[in-house]
Amino acid sequence: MTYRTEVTKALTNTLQNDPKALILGEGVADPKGIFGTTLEAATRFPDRVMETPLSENMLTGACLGLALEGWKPIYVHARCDLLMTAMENMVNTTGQWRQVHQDRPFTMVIRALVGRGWGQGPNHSQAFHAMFAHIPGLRVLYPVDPASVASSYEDAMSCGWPTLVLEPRRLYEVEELDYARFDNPDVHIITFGDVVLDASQAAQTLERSGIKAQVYPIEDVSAMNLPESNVPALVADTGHLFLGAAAEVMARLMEQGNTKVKRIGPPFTAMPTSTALERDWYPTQSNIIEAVSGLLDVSVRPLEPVEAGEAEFKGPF
Amino acid sequence: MSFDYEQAYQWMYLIRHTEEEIVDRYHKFEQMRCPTHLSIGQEAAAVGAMMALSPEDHIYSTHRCHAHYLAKGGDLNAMIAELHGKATGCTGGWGGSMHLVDESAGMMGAMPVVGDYISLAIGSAMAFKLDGSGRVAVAFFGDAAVETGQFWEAVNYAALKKLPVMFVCENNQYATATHISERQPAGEIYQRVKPFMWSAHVEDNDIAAVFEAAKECRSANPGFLEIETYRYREHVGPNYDWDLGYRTEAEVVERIAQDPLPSVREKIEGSLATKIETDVQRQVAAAFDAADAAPWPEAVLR
Repeated sequence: MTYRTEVTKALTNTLQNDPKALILGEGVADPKGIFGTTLEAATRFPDRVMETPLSENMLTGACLGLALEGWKPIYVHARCDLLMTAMENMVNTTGQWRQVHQDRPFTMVIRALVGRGWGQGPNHSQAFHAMFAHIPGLRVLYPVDPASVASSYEDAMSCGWPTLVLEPRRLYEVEELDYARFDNPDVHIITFGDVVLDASQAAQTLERSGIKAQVYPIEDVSAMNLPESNVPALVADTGHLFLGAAAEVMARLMEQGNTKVKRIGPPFTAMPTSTALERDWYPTQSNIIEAVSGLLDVSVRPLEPVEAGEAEFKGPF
Repeated sequence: MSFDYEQAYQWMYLIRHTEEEIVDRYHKFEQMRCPTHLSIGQEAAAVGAMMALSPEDHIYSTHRCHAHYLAKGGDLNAMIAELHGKATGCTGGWGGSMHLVDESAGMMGAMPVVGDYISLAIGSAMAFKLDGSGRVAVAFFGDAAVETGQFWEAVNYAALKKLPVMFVCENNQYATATHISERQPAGEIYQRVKPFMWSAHVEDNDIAAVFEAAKECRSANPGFLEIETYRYREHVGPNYDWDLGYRTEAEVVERIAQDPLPSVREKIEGSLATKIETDVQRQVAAAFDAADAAPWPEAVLR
């Protein structure tokens, strides 16, 4: 099943299994249903899939109010960028509520897609996992493996902490992640978001040169479980490197004694729209291979650069 | 039905006396170490509106939340301990004066960033509509909250969905030290809300009128009630503040001369009023003693 179908199934199952679960958002009950993911739930549970006005900040606070009354809202945003309008209630109320109120648990999920490709541009592409994971009390999940989607939603709906679930739009048609599992890898490629595709391709190329590169996606950004072994590690992110998630990974690896660490990500600018600019903005397979070669002090020639996923995604959104 | 002045005085005096004790002790003992926004002068708005609610209704409040917390039946001991940062406080010392909460009394929370509480109340109202329980969610806020996006987002949504929510705007004219005329165009707030829902306004020196208006507002689904009121003390802290120059001593003195407490007291028998006062004084003194004696919260692990 594709990532998209896994999301659809997870949302429908959540509403079926829990009569207190709700889905809200702009577009959740419209004819397109958030890239089709909320259509089945909207058809089967019309009273619990609520179309909303924009009003993102107010509705985020309202979701907290619903949660305090025992409901379990999933508030959906078609793009992560839109969460900036809800920042006040994501941070100052929802994010802090449980800690400030004597460890009072509640269930509240915010779901948002991270855009990429077809010129999504500066306000339809931003990956804010690091910014939100910086808030104590607000969990961030970033499932990239279609097989992880269901468990991510089960976790978010049962943990008692407000949880942001980010979904990479670029992975929506992916059926499975194609990377090998090694017992004793030579290097780890630790990834956030859809750069797992480029890392997987890079790992295949590296393996042909005899290098066992273990792709290691981090899907629970807040828990940030890292490899225990201190083989060299490259961290690849589609979010910004400056004060970012990759910096946190490197700091933790260094604290556990791993000094052969490196990171790659986009330049520290807004994401440009033009195909010519967008192509070079994200870390590519070639960039990853080059960085790994540098870490291991070897020379590996990249294959023809292929932009994974791009062939499938023809837009518009 | 005649208005229950005895109950009104009970709540108003509890709030007034509690806060007068905070005034006396705030700088003298330096044990209440958090920004404290007093409701002295605004008790009739909180009490009159609260008396129109059902005990099952849920409320949210602001940084100036003492009156709402106490009038909804919030635990006095937990409030005073909270101001002292003690483990027995209503959030165990994490929130302080601006985050009072007592869910068992229907006081769901208070928060200082202006506008947030309005959004949370919308969520409770959505819950009450979903569960059909007939309960009402109430957001208490000041005139400055009307300047936030969250307020208008909430007004739009509440009107659209006919939510069981009451917007109670206590208009004390000042946001910190900035007069409403520097923040909003001329005209009354309640008139601006009228195109969306039932909307009325009332002055808090007549608490029976506040109560009657609030009763109507409660059944409006949704309703907006603007209550003209006045804060005697500084925005935050225990002192008077006319030395700042944003308002005159004469203005404050004139409003204190119209203080609603004596007129409510006059409506009940003198010996009964004295008994209410003596009981409240004993309770409040005990709450401060208990807070003094209470343990500190455990350190937060790094």
